[in-house]
Amino acid sequence: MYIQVKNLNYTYSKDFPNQTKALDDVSFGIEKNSILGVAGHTGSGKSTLLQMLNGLLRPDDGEIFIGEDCITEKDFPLVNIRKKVGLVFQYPEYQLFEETVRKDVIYGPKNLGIEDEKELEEIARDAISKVGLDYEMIKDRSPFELSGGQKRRVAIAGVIAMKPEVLILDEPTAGLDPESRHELINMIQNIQKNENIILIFVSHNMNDIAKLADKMIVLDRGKIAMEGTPREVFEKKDELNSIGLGVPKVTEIMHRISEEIEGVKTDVLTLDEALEEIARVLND
Amino acid sequence: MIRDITLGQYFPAESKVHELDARTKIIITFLYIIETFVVNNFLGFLVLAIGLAIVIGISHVPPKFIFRGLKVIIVIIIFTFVLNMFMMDGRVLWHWKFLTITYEGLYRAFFVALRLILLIIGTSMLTLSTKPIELTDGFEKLLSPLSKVGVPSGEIALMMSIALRFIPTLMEETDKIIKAQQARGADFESGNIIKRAKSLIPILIPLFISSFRIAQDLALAMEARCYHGGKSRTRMNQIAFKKVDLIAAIIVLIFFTLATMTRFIDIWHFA
Repeated sequence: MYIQVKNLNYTYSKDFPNQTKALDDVSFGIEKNSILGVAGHTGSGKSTLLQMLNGLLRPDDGEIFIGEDCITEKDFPLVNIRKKVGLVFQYPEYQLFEETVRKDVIYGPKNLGIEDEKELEEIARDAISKVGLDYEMIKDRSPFELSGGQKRRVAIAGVIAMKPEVLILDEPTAGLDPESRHELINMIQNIQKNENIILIFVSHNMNDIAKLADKMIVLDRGKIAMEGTPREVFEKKDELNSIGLGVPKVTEIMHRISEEIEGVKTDVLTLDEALEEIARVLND
Repeated sequence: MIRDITLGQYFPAESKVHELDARTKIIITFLYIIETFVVNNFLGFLVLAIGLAIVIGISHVPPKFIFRGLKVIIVIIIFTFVLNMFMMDGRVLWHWKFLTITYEGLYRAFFVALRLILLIIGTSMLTLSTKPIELTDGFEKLLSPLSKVGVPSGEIALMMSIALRFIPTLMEETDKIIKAQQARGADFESGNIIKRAKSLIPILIPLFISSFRIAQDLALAMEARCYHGGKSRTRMNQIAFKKVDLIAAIIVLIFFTLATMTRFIDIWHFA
């Protein structure tokens, strides 16, 4: 396991009447070069967990190891965490502030101490093309005159430009139309493949998790309620429903069919698998 | 840090202080502000502080919560303290190059700092114990006589309540933006003052933009529900003075009278 999260605990507003336990003994691990999906309701502790992975919050107790480094140690330099772990918040387009797209994208790398203009130029070009935008066309435009989808890509480019080993995305597709959503998911998948990085992403959308994730965890009221491959987790439909979460649409359909016809497999995640399974049942 | 700001926040609890009519609390707070400036000695402040402590005690708002709000304003308090300490002429206590601390300066510094603290805690009790909507209604009722001479009391009250309502929202927004920029390696804590001021730009610009967005959304939502303010608006919960209000007013007035009377008792001869 490259990333190891061990017994994280965190309580908001400690010693106040409104104190809430945001994380309760959370432990899990992530392999190198893999994708982890995090599912859970609002208030399940997802955001708290992500912020800890980036060193924005320090756990009350517990440890996070990335490779050999224990990033929860008190004197671990923050800059080094930010170099290793890139965090893209929900609606990242709201954090854009520079006059031009190029300047905004190199804000992160500059903060990491890169000063050479040529190198910065190269970084910006690289990051912007990775998010599927035309660098020459867009570099001198104001980020505020772009479309919603473009803004989000620029914001993501701003984090990718920091060349993190671990990329964390919080609800990357929130508020996008189905078309842009699909494009963005593909883009993220490509970036992960080409860069060989660890990707952690939070989503309400089980279809996205089924499509992308190698492994997933389900958070419920600060605890890890379920853990495993999407196939294993989505098998337990009732358990997920009791937390108030669903399964991907295809899986849902297969579960319905299996209620009527016995012997139908329900651990199906994609349309192709579903077609295959239905064909198999029909042929029998 | 930014979450610690309790300015304008409401603390839900059941208490006699919460129960009071918003108008009573507004008037009391207004008088209290005047009173903190009328008082010219420490004894008077002691009277006010005791009164305030009683109010806090009755209100069930945990003192910890109130003092957490002070933490943010401490910079201003220290600033005025230091400024007052060095700026007064009088009997010299300590002298080093161009810096001089006088007896009077030190007295003045403590005095002003105490006045500030009492002001902040006292006025924050109003918003801590009153729901924003009650506060608005109270202001509107209090201002309504002025609407006869053309003062748009409804609009003024609405503006106030929107401002109050959006303090926590903007705090949250600020918090989010700070974190997002920190995740991009921004450093707000080191460097000289110019560098630090510059490092605020990545926070301020997105904050401005999102406050415009929030304002626009709110205006749209209000328009969609046909808000037009003015006379024809009615209330679901009519506010009314009760016996508690009378009792509270009497007790408070006694305290204010006592505090004012300390002006005429000259116990600190140098004041």
